[in-house]
Amino acid sequence: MSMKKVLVVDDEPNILLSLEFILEEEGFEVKTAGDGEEALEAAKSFEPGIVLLDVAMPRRDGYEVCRLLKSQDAPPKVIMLTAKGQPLERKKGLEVGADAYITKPFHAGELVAEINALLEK
Amino acid sequence: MTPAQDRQIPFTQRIRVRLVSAIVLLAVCPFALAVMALLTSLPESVGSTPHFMLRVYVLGSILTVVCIALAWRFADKLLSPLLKIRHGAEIVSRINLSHRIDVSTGDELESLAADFNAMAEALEGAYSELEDRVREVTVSLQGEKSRLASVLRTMVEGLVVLNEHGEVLLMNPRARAALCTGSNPALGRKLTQVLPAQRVEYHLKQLRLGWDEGRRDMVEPVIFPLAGGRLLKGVMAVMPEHNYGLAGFLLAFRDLTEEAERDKRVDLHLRKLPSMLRSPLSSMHSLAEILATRKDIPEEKRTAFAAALHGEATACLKMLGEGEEVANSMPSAYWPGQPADAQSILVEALAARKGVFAELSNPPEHLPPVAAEPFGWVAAMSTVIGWLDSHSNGWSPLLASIEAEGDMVVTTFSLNGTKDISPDELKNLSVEVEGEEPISLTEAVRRNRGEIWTRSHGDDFEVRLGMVKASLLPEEDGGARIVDDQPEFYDFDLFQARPGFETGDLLSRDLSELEFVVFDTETTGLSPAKGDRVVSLSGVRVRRGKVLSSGVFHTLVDPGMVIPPESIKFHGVTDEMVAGAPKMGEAFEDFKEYVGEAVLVAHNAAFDMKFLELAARENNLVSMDNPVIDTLFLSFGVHGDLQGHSLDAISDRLGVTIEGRHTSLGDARATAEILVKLIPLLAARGVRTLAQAKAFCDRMLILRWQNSRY
Repeated sequence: MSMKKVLVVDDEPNILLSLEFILEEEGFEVKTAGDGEEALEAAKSFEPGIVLLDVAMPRRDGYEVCRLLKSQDAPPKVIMLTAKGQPLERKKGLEVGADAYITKPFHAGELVAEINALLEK
Repeated sequence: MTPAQDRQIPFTQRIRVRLVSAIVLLAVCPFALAVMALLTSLPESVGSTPHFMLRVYVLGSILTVVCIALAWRFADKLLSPLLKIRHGAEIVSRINLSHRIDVSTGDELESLAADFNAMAEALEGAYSELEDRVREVTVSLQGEKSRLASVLRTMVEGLVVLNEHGEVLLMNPRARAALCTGSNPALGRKLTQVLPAQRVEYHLKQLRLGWDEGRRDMVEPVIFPLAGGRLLKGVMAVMPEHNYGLAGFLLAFRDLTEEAERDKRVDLHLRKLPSMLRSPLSSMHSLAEILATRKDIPEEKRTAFAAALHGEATACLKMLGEGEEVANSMPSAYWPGQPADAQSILVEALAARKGVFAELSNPPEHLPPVAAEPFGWVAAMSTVIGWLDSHSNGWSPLLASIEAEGDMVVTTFSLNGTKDISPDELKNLSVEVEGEEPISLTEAVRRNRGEIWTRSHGDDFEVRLGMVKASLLPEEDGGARIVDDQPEFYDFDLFQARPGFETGDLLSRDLSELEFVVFDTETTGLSPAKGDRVVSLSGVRVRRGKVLSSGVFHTLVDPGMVIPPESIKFHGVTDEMVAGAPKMGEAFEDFKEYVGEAVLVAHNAAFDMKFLELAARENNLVSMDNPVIDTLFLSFGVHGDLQGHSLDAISDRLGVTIEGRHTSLGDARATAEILVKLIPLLAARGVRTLAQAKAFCDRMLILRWQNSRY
């Protein structure tokens, strides 16, 4: 499991497109997944150090994916991509074991800083 | 033997016996004395012969028999007018002061009757004076009542008044429109049978608790979700009596169904909007950031990002369009429109701008009504007129005309020879109404679902104002649907509890406390067995000894056969009238629901009941087993067979006027009035309860049947 490997999960292809570009520019190895099911598959083979996880997705939402990822041995760090101003969502995310939150929309720099902060922990 | 019989039959018999005995004694005693005197004066040999004694006995007996017979006839002659006087006196004292006794025996009895009539005359005079006074007061009360009635009628809220048991005493038309369905009159029923029962109980309980704690002005907010997604919202309050008791409850409500539906849609969309927009906007944000901050993006990536950006923007615009659609479907964004006449609006608008040199063309025929808030349109139009007038060259008039174009009715203002007129100026005009916030002309037009635009041909400049046709407006559940009817149900005298019929002691209840439905049928003929059927059925409610003028049941019935002309002559119901009317099965079910647990009353009830039973049998319905009493036999029992007992004869005697004789409703109403007047007369004869009344009817039925055979 390489810390430089990032799995990006979102059902919006254009978000994946931009995140992939930004993270690759920063030197990460990036893999993308379009829904929860796909994300769990990819996590097995790709073994990412960090997973960027959208909350609202078809076929297993972000919370469930997060819970499953965190129940593995040597789980990856998880950053949830959430809607703004939803304290309940944050609490729910905390309880399933997410490590950090990024509120959509976000700045590229903000995201990269958050990833680096997590990696340094 | 009931007190009634005790008083009626021996009255005549006792006098008869006394009279006859007195006369016989008076006649026979002198004879006996004469015989005795004769015997003592005669020689013994003559006086004691058996032959002579026999003659004396025979003569004596004949004399006695003749005396008795003569006395009997005399008593009859004397008693018949006496009885007449007695009945007359009773009618005058109890029911009808204008009743006069007609006795022409040419003796003291006649003068007794005349004296009595004079007394009744004087009494009637005094009474009518009193009545005049009462009438005056009543007129002023009536005035208040009708003012209250018109307040209630025009109220936007539905208003229901309940007695302390939660039974509906009165409701305004708005409430009736919201709560009454078909033949379900709601009046007189418990509110729990009309609105969700548990909620009603809950709120009534809260109000009673509050009342017990001394909170006289307590107001309880209520919401009643009804079937079909309907929603009523309002308040309930207690109503104190003049002596500080609890008189009942008041429910005022609005039907929020439409508003709630609308709010739900808007709410749903508003809630959905952020989450719908977040994703595409987040994508756009990221993509735009990359494109803006990174200079070294490979061409192929840049193209992909630009395409993605375009795609997301398109998605956003699509969502925006959907939101717009929802917003446009919201009538609350408009002022409430009402059907209005475009021509009168135009005339008003021109009148509001005095001194404007304008020419108005005649409107086309059959101009459809427009949907508008008329005052708002007049203000908007007169703003346009004023603006155009300020650009007028002074010598050509402002031409105004109206025509119907498609879904709109368009008013055109045309000005010739104007210079430097800018359509943009028009948009920025503000409609100013004293005491109101000024709004832009565009907004004023939009609120009325209208359109405004300009066009020019050469020297002519036109402003066109389009108004939407009223027929395009969804029908509003407003005042227009409410039937303007009699305010008769504002009968505040009825503010007392009605005894429950559920208790099962119906039979022992006092007649004056019972609820009756007095009904009548009109039919195709007199013989149901030979195929005659009902053509109309009416019922009138009598409660607490009062005929209720509201909550009447009336329906024409399709008999499923041609109505014979001789019956039409009788009741006036024709084949055309019953075409489309309900069949008897349906009418019967409605009537049964209307009657509920009330006691059935009819004049010659057997006839009408036969038709009801037939209706139940033919349609496989449960027949009505309510107790029945019959005004024919009640009247017969009260006034004996000296007098007639047809509806007309009784009405005449008791001072009841029949409006619409031989219509089922008219006859039912008259019968109800008769019942009400008979109740105190029955009480005087010891017939007070329903059980006694039924037994009385039964007895009179047998008596009358016997009489009819001789």
